[in-house]
Formats: sequence, C-alpha cells, structure tokens
Amino acid sequence: MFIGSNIKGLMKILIKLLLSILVVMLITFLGIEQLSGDVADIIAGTEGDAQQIRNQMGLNQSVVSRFFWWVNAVAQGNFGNSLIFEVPVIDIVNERILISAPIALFAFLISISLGLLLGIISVVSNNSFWNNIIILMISFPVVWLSLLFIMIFSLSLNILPSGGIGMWKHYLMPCLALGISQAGVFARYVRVGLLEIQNSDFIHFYQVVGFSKVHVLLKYGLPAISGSLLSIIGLQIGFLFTGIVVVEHIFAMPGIGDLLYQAILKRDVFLAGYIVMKSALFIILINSIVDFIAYIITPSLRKGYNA
Amino acid sequence: MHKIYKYIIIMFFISMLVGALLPSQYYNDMDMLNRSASVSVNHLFGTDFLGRDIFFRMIRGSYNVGIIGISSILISLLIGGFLALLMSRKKTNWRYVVSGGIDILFVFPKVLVALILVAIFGPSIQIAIISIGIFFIPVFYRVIYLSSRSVWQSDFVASARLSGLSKYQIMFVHIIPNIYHIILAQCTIQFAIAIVSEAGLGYLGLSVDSSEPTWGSMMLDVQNSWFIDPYFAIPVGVAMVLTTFSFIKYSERIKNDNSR
Repeated sequence: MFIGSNIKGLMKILIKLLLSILVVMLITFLGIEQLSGDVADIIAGTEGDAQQIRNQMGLNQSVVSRFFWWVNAVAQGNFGNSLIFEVPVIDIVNERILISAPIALFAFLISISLGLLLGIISVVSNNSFWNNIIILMISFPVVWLSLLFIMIFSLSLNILPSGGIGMWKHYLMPCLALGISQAGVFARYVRVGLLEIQNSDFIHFYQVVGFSKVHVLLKYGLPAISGSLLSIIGLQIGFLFTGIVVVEHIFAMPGIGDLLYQAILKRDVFLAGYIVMKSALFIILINSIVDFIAYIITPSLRKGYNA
Repeated sequence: MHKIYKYIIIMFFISMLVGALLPSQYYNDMDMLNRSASVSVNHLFGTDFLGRDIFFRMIRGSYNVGIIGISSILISLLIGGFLALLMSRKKTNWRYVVSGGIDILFVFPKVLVALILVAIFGPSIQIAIISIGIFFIPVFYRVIYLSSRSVWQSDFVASARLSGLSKYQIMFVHIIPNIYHIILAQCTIQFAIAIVSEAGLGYLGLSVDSSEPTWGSMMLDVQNSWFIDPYFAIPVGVAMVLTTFSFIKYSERIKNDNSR
C-alpha cells in the first residue's frame, strides 16, 4: 500500500494533527482562564464566602502554576469536578454522550446518502429542477427546518413528540432536520465535482467506447473525485457539531451540545473546557483519519505529483 | 426567472436601508392589547407574544443580518484573501505553515468560537461577526489561492515583473482584476451562508443582545410562545429561505456568465 508513497505527505498529516492538538489545548486553557475569574463569586452567591471558596479550589494561585497543574492533571486523565454537578466531568459527559451519539450518527448517514443521491441525480438528469432542490436544502437553516417540523408533525398532526428523549420517535425529527440541512451542502460538493470531471478526457473516452453516461459517472467519475469528497466529509463532522448544539436546544434533548451550552452560560469552566477539548480533538482526529484515507486512495497525492 | 432573484436581492438591500433608519419604537414597542395578533392593517404580519410588530422586527432584523453578513465577509476576505494572494505567488515553506493554520481554523466549529466569546464578553453583534468571519477565512483562502495560482504563472505577470512592478503592484493591477468575478461569486454565496449561520447563532442567543432583533433571534422568540402562537415564525422563515436561495442562485449566475 505504501510502496512508492512520499513520506513528506504523511509527515504533513501527522504534524498537522500534533499542531492542532496543541492549539486546542491552548485555546481551552485560555478560555478556562478567562472564564474562571469570578466563578467563586457565582458559587458563593450573596451569602457564601468567596475568598474561602477561592482558597479551597486553588483559584488564587498564579496563572503559570495553574497551567502546569492543569496540563499535568489532563495528562493523567483527571479533568476536575463539574462546578454545578459536583461530580467528575468525565462521568457527566459519558452519560450525556449516549444521547448525542445516535443523533450525530443518523444525521450523518442521512446527509451523506441523501447528498450523494441528490448530487448524482442532479448531474445525470441535467435539468435545473434538482439543482434548485439542492439549493433549497442549503437555504433552510436547521433551526427553521426543525421549527417547521414541530409545527407540522407535533402541533398540527400531533403524531410526533416535540421534544425530550426516550423512544425512537423522539429522534426522528432531530435526525431528519439535521441530516437534510447537511445533505444540501454535501450534494452541492458532489454536483460541482461531477460537473467538473464530466468534461475530462477519460470520461469522454468511456462514453465514446459506448458506456452510458450514468454508468461512466458512477463507475469512473465518482472514484476519481472520492478523495476530495472524503475531505469534505471530514469537514461535515465539524458542521454537524454546530448543528447538534442547535438541534438539542430546540428539541430539549439533554445531550452533549445542550450540556456545553448550559456549562458555558453557567460558567462551569471545567465541564465546558472538557467538552470543548474532547469535541475539538474528536473532530481533528476524524479529519486526520479522513485525510489519511484520502491520501491512500488518491494516487496523485500518494506519489506527490502535485505536492 | 433570473429576474426574480435579482428583485429579491434588491428588496433585501432596500429593507436593510429602511431598517437602518427605523426608529426603535417601531420594532421594540409592545402593543399589550394585541399580543399574538394575526395579520391586520395595523400589524402587517401580526404581532409576537409580547405584542411587538413582526413586520418591523423583520425589517430591522434584515439590517442586523445584513451587517453581520457584510462585515464577516469583509473581515475574512481581507485576511484570507491577502494571505492567499501572498502564498500563491511562490512555493515557499511558509505556505505549509499558513495552510496548516487555515485547516485548523476550518475544523474548529464556529459555535464553539461563538460560545467561548459570548461567555467572555457577553452577546453582541460583534461576536456573531467574528465567529462567522473566522469560519469564512479558510473558504476565501482556498478559493482565492486556487484561482490566483495560475494567474501568477501567466506571461503578462512575468512581463510586468520584468518591467519593474513590485509584487503588491502586480497583485492589485493584474491578479485581483483577473479573479474578480470568482471573488464576487464567492462573496455572494458566503452572504447566503452567513444568513443561515446567523439563524443558528441567533437562535442560541449568541448574536445580539435582547434589544435588537435578528432573523435568528426571532426564531428564539418562537420557543417562548410555543403554545400561544408558533406560526409567527413563518414570515421570518420564508424571508430567510427566499433571500438565501436568491443569493445562491445569483452567485451561480455570476459564475456561469463569466465562464462562457
């Protein structure tokens, strides 16, 4: 698999991964530092003693010593206790992530399959109707789509619950709303990629030989753009996270996005910091893996033709 | 058919202008006797759960949304475009550093940036501009980088260099005019995406404080009046989709006109 590969390209992916992790750590710590200024006052309220809480939590030490303390703790897997819930942040996050994971997974599957389908149809059918459908899907913000779903299915038809968790019914609308709004963006990338490649020589050649256009585009066109589509899929994970925060807020689902929103509003810095770090690292890791796969399946990258 | 998109875009900018000049009593005064009222002569699109006029809030909202869109595009165009023009000139090692940094920006979700900034500074229109602008920098960087790379290698740039023009002079005289239509098309489509992004941020209460309406924060108001009148989100939603759709269609038209 790696015969004839250029090490430079692989090193680039690795260095990017390490640098990204460093940047995320820095941003997380700076965020925590900025936020934790008056957290003792918030906990103490009007009656408690803020100074005593500060001493208790080590908030009155210098910034540098706290940074090293924090890095040390993080390296040991100790992310501190949540200031609101007063239990280790890992426990809360592990509990809440079980709610968000199905939404993310199904929305992702819907967006990729629907996007691929619409993108291919819009190129093959060669009329503007399907293109307009794609643009319409991009134009629908996930907020407005969710509200529309609630109006139609919960308030008018009364067949689906408007919020909460538990049954599969609760997951139907969030996944669909998020999936459809993401599918438009992906479909557009598929469409643009296929439109660009359908004028290249090898596609013309296969058509001259006698294969149908649909056959050529599916069998030879799609693999040719799969490298760039993969990196788009990596980026979609990041967009998905933004969508999850919004969707969980609308449908009142106590998932990871809702937890992050609450944690930042209530200035629970350790909880917020942990979620920010974990989700950012997850997104970066996925992107690196996707880059790596794209690297393996794309000959021009692997052999360094356009390095 | 293309005319319709153009008219919708013109209407959006007119309503932005009107919204800029609109006194605050039009969109913030509460008509307590007519709360959650339906369509009438006094209130064109009805009122929300606090009795505020939806039509005027939409117009003021279009001004705020427009400001957010235009400013975030300007910020990201200046930063991303300048970096891209510089980096596309020669193959230097700086290119790896810049494109790596840009990639990290692209991966970081914009809602995280917005949440962190709001937690530190409190919600304001600048927060929305910065977090959407940061999100747009990589887009402009990549588009301008890819399109200007071939222009730098063309013969007329070589002759301009031979005649003694500096790289900044070449940039403004030769490179930018040649990729102008690509930048314009990208700006148009980014404006549409800014409206969609603002809807999400505004809904989470991250884009403006409560004294000003945006299209996103008007969606938030729906949540507060779920069981009284959820349907007052419809005018805003329709306006949002129509505007976004027209801007994307118009950008496609700019692209097609120039590729012929």
